[in-house]
Amino acid sequence: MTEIRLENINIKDSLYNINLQINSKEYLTICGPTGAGKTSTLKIIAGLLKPDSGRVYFDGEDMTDKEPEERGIGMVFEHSNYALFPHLTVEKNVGYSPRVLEGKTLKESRQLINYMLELVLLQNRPKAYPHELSGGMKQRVALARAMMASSSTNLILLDEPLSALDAKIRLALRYELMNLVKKLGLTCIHVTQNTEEALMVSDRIAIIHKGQIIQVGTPREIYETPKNLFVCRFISTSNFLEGNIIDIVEKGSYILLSNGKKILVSNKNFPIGSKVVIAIRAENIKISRNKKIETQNVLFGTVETSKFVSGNSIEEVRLTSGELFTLKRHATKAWFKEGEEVAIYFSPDRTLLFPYPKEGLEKAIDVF
Amino acid sequence: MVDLIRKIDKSLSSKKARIIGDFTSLLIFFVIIIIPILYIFTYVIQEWNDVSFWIFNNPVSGSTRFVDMGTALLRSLMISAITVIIDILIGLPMAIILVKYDFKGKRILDTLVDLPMAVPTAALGFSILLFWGSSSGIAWIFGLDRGLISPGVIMIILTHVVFTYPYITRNIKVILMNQDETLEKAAQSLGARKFTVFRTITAPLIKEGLIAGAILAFTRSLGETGATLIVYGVAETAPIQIVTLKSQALFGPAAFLAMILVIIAIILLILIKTITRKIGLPVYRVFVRTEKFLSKKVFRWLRDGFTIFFFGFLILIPALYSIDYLFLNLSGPNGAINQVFFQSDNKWASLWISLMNSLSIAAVATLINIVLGLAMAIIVVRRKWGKFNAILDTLIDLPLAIPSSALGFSIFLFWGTIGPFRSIGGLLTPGYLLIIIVHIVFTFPYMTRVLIASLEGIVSGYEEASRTLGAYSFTTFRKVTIPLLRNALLAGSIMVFTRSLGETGATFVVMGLVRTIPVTIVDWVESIDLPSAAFASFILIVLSFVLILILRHITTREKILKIKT
Amino acid sequence: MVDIILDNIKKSFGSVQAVRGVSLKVYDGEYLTLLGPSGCGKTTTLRIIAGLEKADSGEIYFGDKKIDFNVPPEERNIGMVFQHFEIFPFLDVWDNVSYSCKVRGVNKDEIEERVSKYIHLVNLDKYVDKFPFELTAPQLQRIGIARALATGAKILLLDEPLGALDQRYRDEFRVEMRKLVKKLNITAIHVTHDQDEAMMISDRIAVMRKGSILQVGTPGDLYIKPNAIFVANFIGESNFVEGEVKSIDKYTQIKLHGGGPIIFSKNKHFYKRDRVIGSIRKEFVKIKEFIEENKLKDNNLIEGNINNIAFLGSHLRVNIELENGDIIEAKVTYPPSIQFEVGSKVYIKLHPENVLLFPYPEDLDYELALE
Repeated sequence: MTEIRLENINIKDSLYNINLQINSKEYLTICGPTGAGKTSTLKIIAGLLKPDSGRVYFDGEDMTDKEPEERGIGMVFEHSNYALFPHLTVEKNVGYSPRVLEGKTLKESRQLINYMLELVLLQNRPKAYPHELSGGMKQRVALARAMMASSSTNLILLDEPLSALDAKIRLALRYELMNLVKKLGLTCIHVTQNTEEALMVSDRIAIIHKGQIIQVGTPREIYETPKNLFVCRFISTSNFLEGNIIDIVEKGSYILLSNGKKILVSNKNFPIGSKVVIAIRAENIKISRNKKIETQNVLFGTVETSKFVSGNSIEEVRLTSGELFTLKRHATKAWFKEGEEVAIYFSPDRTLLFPYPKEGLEKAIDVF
Repeated sequence: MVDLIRKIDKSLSSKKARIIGDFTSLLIFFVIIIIPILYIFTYVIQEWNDVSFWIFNNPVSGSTRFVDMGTALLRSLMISAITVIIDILIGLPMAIILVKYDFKGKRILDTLVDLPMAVPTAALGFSILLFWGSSSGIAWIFGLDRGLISPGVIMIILTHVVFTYPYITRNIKVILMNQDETLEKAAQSLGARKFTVFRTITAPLIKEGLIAGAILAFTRSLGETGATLIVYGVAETAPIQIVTLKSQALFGPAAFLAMILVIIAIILLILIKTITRKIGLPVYRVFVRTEKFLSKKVFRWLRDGFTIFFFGFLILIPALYSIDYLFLNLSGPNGAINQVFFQSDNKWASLWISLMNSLSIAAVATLINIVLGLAMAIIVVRRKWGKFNAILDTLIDLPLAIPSSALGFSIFLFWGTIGPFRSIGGLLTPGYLLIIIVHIVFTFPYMTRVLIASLEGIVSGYEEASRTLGAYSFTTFRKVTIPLLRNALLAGSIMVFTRSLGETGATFVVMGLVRTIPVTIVDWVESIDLPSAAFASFILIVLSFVLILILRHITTREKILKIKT
Repeated sequence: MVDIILDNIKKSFGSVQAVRGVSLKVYDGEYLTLLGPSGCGKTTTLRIIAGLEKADSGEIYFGDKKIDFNVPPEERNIGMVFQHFEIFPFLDVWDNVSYSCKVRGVNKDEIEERVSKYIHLVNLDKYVDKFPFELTAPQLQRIGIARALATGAKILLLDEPLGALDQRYRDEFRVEMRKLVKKLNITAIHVTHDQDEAMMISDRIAVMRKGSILQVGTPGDLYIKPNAIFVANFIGESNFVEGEVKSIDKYTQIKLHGGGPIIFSKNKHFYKRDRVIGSIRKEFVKIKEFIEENKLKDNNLIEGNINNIAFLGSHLRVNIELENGDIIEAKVTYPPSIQFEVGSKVYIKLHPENVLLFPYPEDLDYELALE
């Protein structure tokens, strides 16, 4: 039962005015590119890093000056084998926290350790040492250890918990993680740069970029109404067109591209004459060999690459106007050949509209 | 030209060339280094009658010599044990201070901690004698008219701490630096207080290094001769007794005592390799209240304060006091300048000669060890000979563990008129050549260890990459391995050079009429010409200090070569 | 002609059999990937081809030429790219790339020409005189590729070349590397554990597990026609259900265990009462509204309850619990064509051609394990 509040957190040259509230039993993901300040934010909550200014509250109590060992949290670390203690066995790692023994008999804490090991499917390996385990197992030990330590707050902090694992295992563990967190009613703060992971596991996502929180919202909100071009590009592969609004009709706004083409988008929030950027997600663009196709928003181009990846067909199409568009669809094989000339089109209501950014389009969508 | 080099490289890359190379290196390793050290065993057995006559059954003195020996040996063991305890008390917290905290002047403290290593043992003993034992040292501060401590056991311990604590500090420092801080942070986040973190996480992880360092410090203290010669007063230690016995030409008893020291050293060495890993520390229980109390800041301040105070007072100032003494006694009729340059016995000339001797001996020992050390390091790291490799790895440390006077004596016996070459009157008699051989032997581990560590650190990937790029294995060695080892070679060379420059005990046994600079210092101390001894010490300290500074510079530069991946 | 042929290659390290009889033909100009979880023997196989390990038995041919295991790597004329780059830290970019030419005694003019060509190909022209410690990981791997190509070898071996790079650089690299290899018309063997990487980059993929190759084929083949449970699980994402063959007519009918529903498969290689494992790709699971009309039109519909929906932007992951408690996951394009929420009753449709059957294995957990 812990609600966390960060108030005006600042660290020189790395975090700027971070305000964030995490509700009890919520799964919140802090997501952003490398160096955005994700891990620093997490460490401030853990007490492993002191902010230059600002306060950290747990359930209204000011924790800013408390040492990490006094905060009652559990944390899973990213680096070097999840910071498992190499000289201790699985059960001793899991039972390491001095809090495990607090107010319990030895027998009770033993039982608790065993219960936790069962939860993470390691009941058969209590005496193993970390180096004897596979990557996925180590990750589970780290999680069990963190959960044991957080029994008073039920708050666990995960720093890129899955990034060191093989791609396939990562997916399986996402499910395990989500189920455990819900089952035990934990509050969970998860740091990752993998947007698919963030979308899948979170109740809410906080997008952080260059030390600032840009947007906080549910996965759907972040995906469907990204606050700016950065969030749009970061959360999912998108394609961009620049233009000026020339007309607003009932169905939406008409935008004139530099090559003279007109595009219709549903959004009517920008006045005529404003310079805008249209964003279309890779999965919202359709493709056809039929170049005479009768529909809205048709553009032409040549297929540069066409690949089949696990149930998706991914094409890169070079438009006649020079932009390179990425398209992605569920499919059973790659349907197009490199060099084929194609038409691509998209529906006006599967588009997003942004004001033209001050720093220029290229900078605004540079998500690395 | 290119083709010619390629041809040579190719033939040197052949299996045959490699086998010949390995065989030659091993032959030299055993004949020059290992067998002479262990020859003492053969000698004692061969001369058992002589040995037992002098030690146990002498018609005149009975077994008093045996009692003397036992006393000296026990005294040595006790001194070493106390020394190691003090080493740990000062060295361990010092390592923690140097690694874990950031503060102004950290680099300076770091250099100061290494500084006493620059002081050769003979100069060191002299400096400590002056500081604790003369009226101008510590006594002067308290206004006494004679020294606070007279030569004897306590002064020996004070001396030994100075040159053995770096084994603890350096070992632990390296381990702590390479240790992942995340482990400690994880423990903290799990609710462990600082003291608990240290006891349950940090301590178990530095345990091996600490024990290995402690054993090395112990053997080094057990075998030290040079400094001890100056400060022992009447409290003879075992290595001193070897020197004394040898100078009385009592080879049998000297060999017997040396052999016992060698045996103790070998046992300790085996302990390092086998037991350190198995000693456990109680980890599971947590004493919440006590440890919460001990985690208070005030204890850390106390620890840091005491550590720095004792370091300064017991180690740094005494070790360097001779410099101060020198400047106090520079001029005047009894001053150093007058004594060294303007007396009829022309001390400057003999100082100059002994300095040249020391430098040339150190240079030759370094050069030979570069070649031999490189060859042996490659054999140990790269050849996959199973058990034999593990044995070689242990043997490499042998000269490090054996007391230098015992080592010198054994080598003297092996090459000399009473060794295996006695039928041709011995191959080498005490003198320049024999000093060089002895110096090669005891400096060998310093070079080889550095190279082995560095070679193991080199991801063999670089070499594999080179070979897939078309370079023969010898070309790879030349163009990739050597450049990667460059810093290690330099660092090893400087270690060997400084160690050779400062060595006294073994040199004493094999020098004949040749004088090195540390021996000269001992001579002058014995003839109570303290200002001149201080002058010679000063030269030696400055030389070594410059070399150590270069060494530090190299090791910090090393980081640049490491690429982040 | 530089086809690469491996014939029954075996290799043990002590008591561990790392490679257990691998046979493989890689065609001239092909981009082939060895794909498998860590410890499957893929890297050892690659190192045997490179000459960095000696196989215990078997044969290797480059074209018609048999390669003796004792031929050292420097005489095999291959280029290799390493996971941790292994860029010589004491040489600048130019000297790293020109290394192979220099040690082989190539004349100066040719070195100049070749090296600048490859440095240009990997876009490092601006960095020729930089030292490795001044460069980023992706730049280092670019040197690694240029250095391997500058050997002029027609065979390029890549050992997890993207493994040490951040996710964000990998996509970019995949595309570029394939283009480069195709442009230079060389044969590439690439080792990875990342199935997406393998599918993106390869002409063909060899899936390995525990020292053996399970299946070799194009990304499409492996996806549509996996020949083992492990392959179906490792490539793409599948649901696995357990059942017994009830009858065989137009389709094979399988009664799912625990009193579950009947599903249909086109596979007819089984007999009545055989215990089988059915595998269905998650994106092939179709969700239909739970209305009478649907059931009347199509008898191949299974009832289920939605117990979780995860939103992933381009698609939803919907978990449907069947009456026997099995959970089937569907990947549904977003926005979905019908409305549903957690708790909704729905039909799911599994097309018979999408239901693959495998004999029930001795150890199912082992077959389904990914590590």
